[in-house]
Amino acid sequence: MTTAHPKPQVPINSIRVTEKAAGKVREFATRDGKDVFGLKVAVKGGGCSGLTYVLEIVDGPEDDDKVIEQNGISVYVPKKAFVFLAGTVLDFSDGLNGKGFEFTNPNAKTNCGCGTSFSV
Amino acid sequence: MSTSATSSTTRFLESHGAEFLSSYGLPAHFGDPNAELEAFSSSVAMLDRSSSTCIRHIGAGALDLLHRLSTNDLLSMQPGESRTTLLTSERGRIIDALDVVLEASDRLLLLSDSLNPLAALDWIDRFTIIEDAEAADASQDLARIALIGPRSEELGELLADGFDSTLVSKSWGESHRLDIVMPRHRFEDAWDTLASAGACPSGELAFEAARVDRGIPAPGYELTDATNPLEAGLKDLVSFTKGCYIGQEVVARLDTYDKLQRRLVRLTCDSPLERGSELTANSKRAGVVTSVSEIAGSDAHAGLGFVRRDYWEDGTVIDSPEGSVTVHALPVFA
Repeated sequence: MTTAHPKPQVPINSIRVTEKAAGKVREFATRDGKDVFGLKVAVKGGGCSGLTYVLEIVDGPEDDDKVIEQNGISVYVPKKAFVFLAGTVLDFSDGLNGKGFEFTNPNAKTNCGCGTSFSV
Repeated sequence: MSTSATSSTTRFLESHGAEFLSSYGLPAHFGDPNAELEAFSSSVAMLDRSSSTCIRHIGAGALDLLHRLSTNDLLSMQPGESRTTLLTSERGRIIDALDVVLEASDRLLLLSDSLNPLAALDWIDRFTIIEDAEAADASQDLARIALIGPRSEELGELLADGFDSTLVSKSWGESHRLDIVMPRHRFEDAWDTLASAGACPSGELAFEAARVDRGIPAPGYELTDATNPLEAGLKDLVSFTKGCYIGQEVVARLDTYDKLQRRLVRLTCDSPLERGSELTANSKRAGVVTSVSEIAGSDAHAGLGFVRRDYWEDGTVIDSPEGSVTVHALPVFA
């Protein structure tokens, strides 16, 4: 596990999807033939540190999802997961050593080595 | 905890000769602890485990969630199968050891020898966020009898039909253990049926002595949030190929770099050992006693404990407040 680094400032009642991450989501959705879509961002139990991120391209929100518009895409966050994600930045890192989608989560006390799970 | 449910088996067992001592919430013995201990090896010992953790974990996401939270590979289980797994913390320390019974794809039964169901329940609940899964204490509705010894399978067959029972089989050291879970109202009939067939009603004195003799770690004694699976000798409950689970990074590192600093061992001493006693060597801390047998063997008093790397070789002699202690390496580390 590694100690989390200082986080970019994002309103605590929201999460931010960078332009680069939003572009990648659109690219994946287009490749899947989806004209209407949203990005589900959630958290589930598991991973080395206890909680692990969930990313999924979906057709629309579910009843208890919080809906956030970011850089031209709709982001759906289940309310139960939002308490773990408030203030998070979702970015995309490409290239040979890139990690793909990357979360910077101010609620995370620790992150696992591969960056896909965290503890609060 | 299931106070009313526990007391219902308590009254029944008291009427069948059980003696309850203040240090145990379970029967201490049924009149002859030495004969009860012998039954673990020669025939079959029968224990009431109705006060121990029994959890129903229901929902389409229950199995997948438990797979992500614990050390063993559970997704390869088939309905009707059971498998033991460990809930571990982010630091790779043990929360509980669970026998997982996959009754159906969306219905699990979780059993542990822990008397505190909240340890597992709270841990599972803490990480149930978006999953279709719900865990609940089932000890008010279900009773459990454990059969340990060479005749356990044979006698367990008597309850396979007509008791609405679930049978959970596993090895217990070099012995065999069969846990029989049933509706609580069938407990008394089941107990009498097994006793009539030759099962030896046994208490915690004999159980602890048999457990110590076989070097089996138990929740609350060796399996605590101070212990990781490898130092407790439970590597066979860890899948190193399943991917991430809580604590995986720490457990994998301990294994890869051979970083274990201490190990579970069996201890013997000429005097009765005390649980919690510090073990020393040349005035340096060498380990701690975690369990003791209160039935003296023919030549020594026995216990379990963790000792540091420098002292875990078989035959090493170290000190305790009760006298010199001999370390016996457990076969699981061979």
